[in-house]
Amino acid sequence: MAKCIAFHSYKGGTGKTTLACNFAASLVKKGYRVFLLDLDVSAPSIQAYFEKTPKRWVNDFLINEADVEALATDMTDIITEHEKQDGPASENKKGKLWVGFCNPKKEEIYKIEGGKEEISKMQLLRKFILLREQLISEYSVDYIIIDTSPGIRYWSINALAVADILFLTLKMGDLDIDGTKKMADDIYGSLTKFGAKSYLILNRVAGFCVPHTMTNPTSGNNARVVIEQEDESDVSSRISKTVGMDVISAIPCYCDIQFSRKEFLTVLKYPDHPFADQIMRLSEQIQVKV
Amino acid sequence: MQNEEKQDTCAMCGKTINEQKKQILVEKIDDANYIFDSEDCALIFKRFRSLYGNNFSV
Repeated sequence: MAKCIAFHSYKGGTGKTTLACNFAASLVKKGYRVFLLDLDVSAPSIQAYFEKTPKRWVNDFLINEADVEALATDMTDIITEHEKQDGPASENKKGKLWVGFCNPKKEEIYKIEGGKEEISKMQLLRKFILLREQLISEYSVDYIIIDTSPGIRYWSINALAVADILFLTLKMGDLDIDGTKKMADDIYGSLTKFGAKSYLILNRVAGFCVPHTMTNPTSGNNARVVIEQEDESDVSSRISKTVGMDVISAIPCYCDIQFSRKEFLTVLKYPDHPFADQIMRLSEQIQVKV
Repeated sequence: MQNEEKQDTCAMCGKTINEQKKQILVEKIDDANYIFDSEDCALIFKRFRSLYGNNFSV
C-alpha cells in the first residue's frame, strides 16, 4: 500500500528539500518505487538536485494543461548510474524514481496560488487529490515524497492533508523551535487525529563541525572558551518535550553539504558520508513506523 | 456539500461515483451526510474539515 510522506517546516532554510531529495533517493536505492513531488510552489528548488528540465510541470497538471505522464520525469538513471560506480546493488528489487517538478516562473506560481480567476482554489485542490490517486493507481508507487512550502500556506496545508506521514524539520534556534511548537499545536493535531503520523527531524544539530573550543574575542587570541554542547539524545529529548512530538532523527550540521555552491544528492555521490548514513537509517526507520 | 444536492459525486475528489461502479461510502460529519468514493477521500475530507472548520467544502 502506497504511503505519502510530506517534508514540512515552520521556517525556510531548515534543509527540507535536501532531506526530501536524499530520502527519496535512499528509498529507490532500497528498491522502492518512489515519486518525488515538488510542492514548494512559491520557491521550487528540487530541480537544482536533478539538473533536468521537465517536459511539463506540476503546475501544468494542476491547471488542466498536462496529464500525469507529461509531468512525471523518470530520473531512475541517476540512481542506477551511481550504483554501477559503487558496484552491484545489494537489493534484488529494482527501484524507480519519478520527479514532478514545480515551475519557478512567477506567472506560473501566480496561476496555482489561485490568482487566475477561471481556476478556483477548490478546482486546484481536486486536481491535486486526483494527482495523488493517479500516482498510486497508474505508477504503482510505494512512496510519494512531497517537498512542501514552509509555514502555513495553501499548498503546504494541502500537502499535509493528503500525507500519511509528516516530517517536520527544524534547526536548533529558539525562534524555529517556538514557531514549530506553535504550528504543531495549530495544525498537526487536526491531521494526526485522522490517522497521520508526525515526527520531528532535527537538522544541522551542532556537534559535528563546530570545534569544542574557540577563541574568546573579548580575552585575546590565546584565551579559549568551551562551547556548550548537548548530547544528541539530550537534544532530541528536550525538543521532543518542548514541541510535543517524537524526534525520529537528529542530523548533525555538515558544512561540506550546507555550504556547497552546488546542490547534490549525498546518498548517491558520497554514500559513505555520515549524512548519507543518517538518511539511510531514516528510510529504514520509516519501514518500521508504517 | 450536502448529499441531497450531489448524491452521485464524491464530496472530496468530485468524481462521479455511479460511473465508476464503486461502493459508495456515506459518512455523517457534523450532522450532515457526505458521500465518498474511497476511504482515502473520506479521511482527507475529515482532515480538511478539522483544519478549516465546518465551512470547508469542495
